[in-house]
Amino acid sequence: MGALRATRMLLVEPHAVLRGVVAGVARELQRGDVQAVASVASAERVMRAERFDVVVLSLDDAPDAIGLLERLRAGALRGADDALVAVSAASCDAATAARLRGLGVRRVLLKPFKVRTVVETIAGLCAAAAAVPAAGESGRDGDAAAAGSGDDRGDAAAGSGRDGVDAATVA
Amino acid sequence: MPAAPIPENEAERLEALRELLILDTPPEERFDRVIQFAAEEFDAPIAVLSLVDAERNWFKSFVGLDVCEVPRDVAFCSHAILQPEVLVVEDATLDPRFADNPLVTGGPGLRFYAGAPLQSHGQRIGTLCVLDVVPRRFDATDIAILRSLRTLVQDELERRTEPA
Repeated sequence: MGALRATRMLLVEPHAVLRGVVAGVARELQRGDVQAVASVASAERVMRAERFDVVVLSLDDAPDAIGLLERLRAGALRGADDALVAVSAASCDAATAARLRGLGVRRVLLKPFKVRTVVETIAGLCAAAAAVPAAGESGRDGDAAAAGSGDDRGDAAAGSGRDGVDAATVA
Repeated sequence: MPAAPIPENEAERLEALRELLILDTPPEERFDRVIQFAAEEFDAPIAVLSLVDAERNWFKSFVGLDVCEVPRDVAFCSHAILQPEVLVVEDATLDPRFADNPLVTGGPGLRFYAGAPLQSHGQRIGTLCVLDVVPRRFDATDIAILRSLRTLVQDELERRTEPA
C-alpha cells in the first residue's frame, strides 16, 4: 500500500440543506477536500476540469446522473474514471442496482437517511481512496475489498427496499 | 436556580441582534426547513432557532413547542450564548445550572439540550438548538452536524444584513 494522500471529493445533491450540512461536516471532520454542487450539469462541468477521488451522487435526476456515471467510467471526464462512487436514491430496484454495480458504484444510500450515515460512507470511501497508490504504481482494483470492509457491512442487498434498511451495498 | 450571567458585551450584543430586524417577524421557510431538518436528523422532539433578547428568549423558528418565547432567566440558550462552542447538557437533572429549572422540573420536562451559538456582527445573538425530554449522548459527529446546520442559519441571517 502506498502512502496516504489527500482525497478530493465531489458531492452532487440538489437538496440545499442536505448538501450544505454534509459538505460542512465532511470539511469539519477533515474527510477530504470537498466540493459540493446542486445538479448533474454542474457536476459535469466540474468533473471536466478537475479530478475527484470520491464522488457521492444523488440519483434524484436518475437518467442524467447515470449518464454522468457512464461518461465518468468511459474516461470522458478528466482523469477520474476510477473514482470511488456512492449514490443516493429514493429507491433502488434490482435492475438499477445491477446497472450501478456495472458502473462500479460502491454503495447506495436510500433516502431518507441520516447525515451521519453519509459522513460514515464518505469516511470509508476517502480512507480507501487515500490508501490507493499514486497513478502508475498499481490499479485500484486491488483495494476494492479494503474499501468494502471499512464501510459496507454486507447487511443489506440492493433493491431490498426501505424496511429497516437505510443503506444497501452493491459492490 | 442560577440565572445565566449577563455578558459583558450585552449592549453591543443586543445592538447586533436588533440590527437584524428579525425579532417578532413571521416564520420564514428558509429557517423553518433547517429547523425541521435538525429535528429529523437528531430524532429530537424539539428544535429551535432562538434569539436571546434583553428579557426573553424569542423563537424565530421551532418544532415541538406551543410557545414562541420563554423568559430569558429560565432559557438554556442564555447559557449557550456565553461560550463560542456548542453547549451540551446531556442530563439537565445532573447539572446544577439546570436541575431546578422550571422547564426541567415542570412542563415540558426538559432533560437534554445541545445549542450552537449564532453570531451576527461578531456577537452571539442566539442559538440553533435541539432538546429532548430524556437524557441523551451527543458525540463529535453530532456536534459537527449541529455546527454545520448553524452555519446554514448564519448564512441566511447574514443575507438579511446585505443591502437589497
